[in-house]
Amino acid sequence: MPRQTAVDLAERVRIQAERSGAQEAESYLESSTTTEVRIRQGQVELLQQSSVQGLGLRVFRDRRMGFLYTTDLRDSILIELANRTLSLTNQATPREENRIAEFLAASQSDLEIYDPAVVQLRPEDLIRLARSAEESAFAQDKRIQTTRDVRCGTAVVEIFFTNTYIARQTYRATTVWLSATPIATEGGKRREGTFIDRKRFLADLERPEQIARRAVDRAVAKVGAASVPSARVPVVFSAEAAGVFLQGLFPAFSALNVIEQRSFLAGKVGQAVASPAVTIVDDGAMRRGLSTRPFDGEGVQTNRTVVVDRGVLRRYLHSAGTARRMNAPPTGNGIRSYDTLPAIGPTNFYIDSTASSTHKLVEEVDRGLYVTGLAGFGIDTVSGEYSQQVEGSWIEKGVLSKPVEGVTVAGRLDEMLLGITGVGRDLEFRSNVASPTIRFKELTVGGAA
Amino acid sequence: MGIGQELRDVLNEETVNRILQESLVKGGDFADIFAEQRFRTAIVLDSGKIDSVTYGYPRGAGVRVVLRNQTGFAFSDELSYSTLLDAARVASSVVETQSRTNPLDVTRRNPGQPFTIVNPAPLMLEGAKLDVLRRMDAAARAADPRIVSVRIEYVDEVRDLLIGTSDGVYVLDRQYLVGISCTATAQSGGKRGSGLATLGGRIDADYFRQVSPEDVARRAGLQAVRQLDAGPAPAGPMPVVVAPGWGGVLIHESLGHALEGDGVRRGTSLLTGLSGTRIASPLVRVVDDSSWPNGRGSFAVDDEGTPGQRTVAVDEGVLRSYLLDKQNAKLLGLRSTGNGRRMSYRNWPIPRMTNTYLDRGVSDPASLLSGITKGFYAADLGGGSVDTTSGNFNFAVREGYWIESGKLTRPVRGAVLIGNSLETMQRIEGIGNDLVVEQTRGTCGKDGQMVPVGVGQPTVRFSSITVGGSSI
Repeated sequence: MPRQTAVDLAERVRIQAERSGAQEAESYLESSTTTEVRIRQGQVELLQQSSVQGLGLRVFRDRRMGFLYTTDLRDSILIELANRTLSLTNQATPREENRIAEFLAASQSDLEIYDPAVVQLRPEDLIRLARSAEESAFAQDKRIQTTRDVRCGTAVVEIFFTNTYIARQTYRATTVWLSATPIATEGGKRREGTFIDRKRFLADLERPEQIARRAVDRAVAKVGAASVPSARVPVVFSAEAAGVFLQGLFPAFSALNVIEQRSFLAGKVGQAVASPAVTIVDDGAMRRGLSTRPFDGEGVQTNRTVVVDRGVLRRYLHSAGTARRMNAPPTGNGIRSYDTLPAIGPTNFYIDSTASSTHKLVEEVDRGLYVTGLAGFGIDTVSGEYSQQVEGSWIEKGVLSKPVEGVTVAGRLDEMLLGITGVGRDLEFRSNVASPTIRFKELTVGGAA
Repeated sequence: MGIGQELRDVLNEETVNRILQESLVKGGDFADIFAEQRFRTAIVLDSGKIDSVTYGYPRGAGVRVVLRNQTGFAFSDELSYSTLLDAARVASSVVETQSRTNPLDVTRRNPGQPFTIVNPAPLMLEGAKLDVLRRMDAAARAADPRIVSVRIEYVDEVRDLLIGTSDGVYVLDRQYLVGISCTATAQSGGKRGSGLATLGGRIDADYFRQVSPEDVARRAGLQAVRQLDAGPAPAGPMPVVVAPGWGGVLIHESLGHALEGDGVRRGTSLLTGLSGTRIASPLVRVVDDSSWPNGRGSFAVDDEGTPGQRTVAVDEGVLRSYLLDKQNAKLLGLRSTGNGRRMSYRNWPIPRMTNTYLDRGVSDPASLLSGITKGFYAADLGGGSVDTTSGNFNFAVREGYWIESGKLTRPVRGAVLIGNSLETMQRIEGIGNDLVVEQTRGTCGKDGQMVPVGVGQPTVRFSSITVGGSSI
């Protein structure tokens, strides 16, 4: 849809809702185009190209909130849906925080989230990048005979936002990604390794050969992996594993979970919740960040929030509603798509790098586990219990000695965070949640008898 | 209005034929159109207040062109002949071939419904839905004074779909689904615990008179409270007994995903080439059944227009059938088993489970605990995942107990169970006669596509599974 048409539509629907009885209304229109190719054994297995246009409308009346979303943008349908939603809104409970957000000014600086070079990529370009990564994977190691696939894609998204107090604000953003999943075969056993890079700018994307090499390293490292006996030992999480761990930890920092007593970090602001080596930041305005945007899903300006400062819990992360309920400044964490209500989520959320040597985190361990992959749903941010299936390598006298799988690591989240004995300096963003390598003083490794 | 009438207004047999012809103009083996219109209602009740009410009305259509293992796909949120012709052209750009396939003219077929729903629950008045949620909230709170928070999430949908395929199928169908989850949090002396209980399925409004929403909500409250007194879970391999019903997620993860035809066709699934061979204990019979009454994974036709069916995938421990969609079935020289599913019109179909269960055995469930000196009982599980290449799987335990001298003793918290598919399937040494197929929860994610599924099993005993707790 042409830009002007989209802007007009978003505004028209919002005004229509106000005329029909909404005291406040907010309209969020998302228009995006995604292209992805998947290559396997040199052949294009999938080519998909799609455009999404969807509208989300929030209405407020007497401190009650209602929401509708649709991809059917015909005027007659929109009017009917808006009226139905307004009458449904009468069923909701009035809540003081059910109002349009107050802190609205969007960031004026260039956040560098839109790269015309990404927009110009054609399917043929994506096919070429993916083929080159796959060929490179085959060339690296003779144990790589096949891949699950190699994927390359782009997304271009444009947001049109308007509410009762803001006539319009918009932004557009690009993402490009390339991933490889080679499969290593040895002695009848197969193991796969995946490496994915995602960036806002094409020039920042890792080269296909690099992606292939790191994916091949991962697959090959798993061949011959076995379980180890159960033990309580120091455990090092690689940067990627630590990022996945941090993602799982996020709900504990959500102000809504804190208010509803669903977080083990409730009531701990001002207290040490992690070792002094740990600083955790959420930064929705980080230049070129994968989750950077000038305003969040409620029109609130994004910014940098230090959540944990050298081990001390400083802030929880907020939507406009929870900020009101806790009488705290908003943090711009109302994350949404056109078809969901804004909910507290991470923007660019990370454990900050330190000056420490990443290598030393392993070298200093006499006997322990180096974890490169985590799987499963064992992070309970309500009770604070932690247990996950992991894979990686056994550490013997500071050296990675043998590949490990079929083990779990477990502990209590509060003790784990306080017991972090080192944070590396290898922070890299390939996802919006990231961490450098971290080392836990001691966790329970559950393995063979 | 008739089922799918609004879709049919845009896509009658004639327009479908024309779009399919355009899809195959550059060649290809197969093409299809999938149009969909959903009406969703979602309600969140948190701390006793109706937090939000949502109506969702997504609709659109996707066009797919297949040449052997190659797929071109495009969709449009706008349902019109011209946008779908554009989508057809984009989808067909993947194929470059001399071989031309002329699509068969489509003929309308009426899907045979596997079960009848007289008064679909999603069509209840909003007031009736809210009443169920308020009753659940009160019951969960009343379960114990230590309950500090209750959140209830309700979502329902009426999904109309229209499928037209170049092998001559034209089908319209309507699917109803309701899911309600109740999450309770208990707190005492600095300890917190959470409990979850669910209800719903492809149900009639009458369901709420047969199943007590209060009882379900109370279970969530009690599960949360039990976590407060639970001690650390054990670590290491030991005999494990898993409770019936939702425990079937173990079969779903350990075996189900490896049965799906895409991994088999690519040769990446660990079950590739094992058809007709023993892959599990002789006690094991695994069934995938999209006709299971009211199941979350049930349907009349899959998202490629193939009628749903009951597939015995494993019988007496021997691999009998994979779970197949059209494309992978053809590449394997087999027929679709009606497992081609998509999350929405924005996705192309891939082979997926429907309602998958480990079939009933002969043992008295109580007898399965006897003889275990020290072991683990999983009364309720959380989510799980699997790597289908290695077969390594895991799932979280929501509610677990020690088994000591053949009896359930102390509750434990913070456990996961991990294992390798084929090893674990050999270690099944007892199956109860108490099969339960869980119809109220289960959303399976694969390749970014989420679909509702059912899972099930009777009580099952494993000679050994690695429990990942913190106590050694």
